[in-house]
Amino acid sequence: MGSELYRDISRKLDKYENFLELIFAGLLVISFVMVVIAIITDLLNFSNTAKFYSSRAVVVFMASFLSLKLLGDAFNLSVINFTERKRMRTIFTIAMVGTMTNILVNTRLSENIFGSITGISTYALFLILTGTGFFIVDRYGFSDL
Amino acid sequence: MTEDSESKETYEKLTKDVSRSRHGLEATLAKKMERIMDYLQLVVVFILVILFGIAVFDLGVELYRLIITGQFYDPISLIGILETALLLFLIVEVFRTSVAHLEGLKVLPLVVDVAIIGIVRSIITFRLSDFQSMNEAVLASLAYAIILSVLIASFFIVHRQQRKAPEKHYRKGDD
Repeated sequence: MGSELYRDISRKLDKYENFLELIFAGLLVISFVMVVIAIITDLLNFSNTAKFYSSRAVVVFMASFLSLKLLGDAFNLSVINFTERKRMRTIFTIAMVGTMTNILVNTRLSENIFGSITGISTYALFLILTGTGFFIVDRYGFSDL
Repeated sequence: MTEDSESKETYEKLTKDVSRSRHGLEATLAKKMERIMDYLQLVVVFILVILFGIAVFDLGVELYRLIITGQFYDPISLIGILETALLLFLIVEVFRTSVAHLEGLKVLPLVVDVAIIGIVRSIITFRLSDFQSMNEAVLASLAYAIILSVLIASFFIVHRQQRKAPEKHYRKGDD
């Protein structure tokens, strides 16, 4: 009797949580659209001012595109939560793309070569580990559980 | 001689009765405590739903701020949004773990999943410039790397075991 009551209440709360997740997914879609608009605006701006040839601008563009991929994955995750499939696979994808974005944005070869190498090695280590996680989920089909 | 055996029998009977009643009392108390714990856990689940609502609102506010200030183009700001998004997923996973626990289902795979999401959140927001010295940054990154390795190994073991001996696990939307 008691456990049925808990079950009923928790399932009702689950429904509210689903509704909030829908709002969350909607917010992620808005973010995605805004980033696309920002990228297009900056592209136009850069082509006008000839900044487009700067390597830093290209790196920032790549990072922005990776950010788009991240937002897309986060959206997938929020939608996939409804069907309970391939959740961890998406989590590891987010980890890898996030680390790659960090490599692009946060590491630059500077005068402090030791610092640069340490930074790149750190992110490379994270990339290898999250890649291993992704491989395990993908190879052994745990994503289908 | 007969009096002795009678008193021995009475003594044994009394001891058994006392032990049985104590056992019964303990069982009743344990049941009541368990019920209280279940109610409290239900309160925790309720709080988690409220927390999730607040976090969604926070994400909306953060998004609005980025649109107004025009920081949308900055990938670091976007990673900040992702950080909040992963926090939301963490809350969802903890919520599921609580519900699964309430329903008496296995929660270990969910706990490992929660831990992995937590560490992924820390990794994607990891910045060397946040640390005072390079040594601190290297130590922190090594710590994250070790935790992530252990979690990936646990994930592999737990899920392989789950596949070998499938048991009832929490599935969202199950009746």
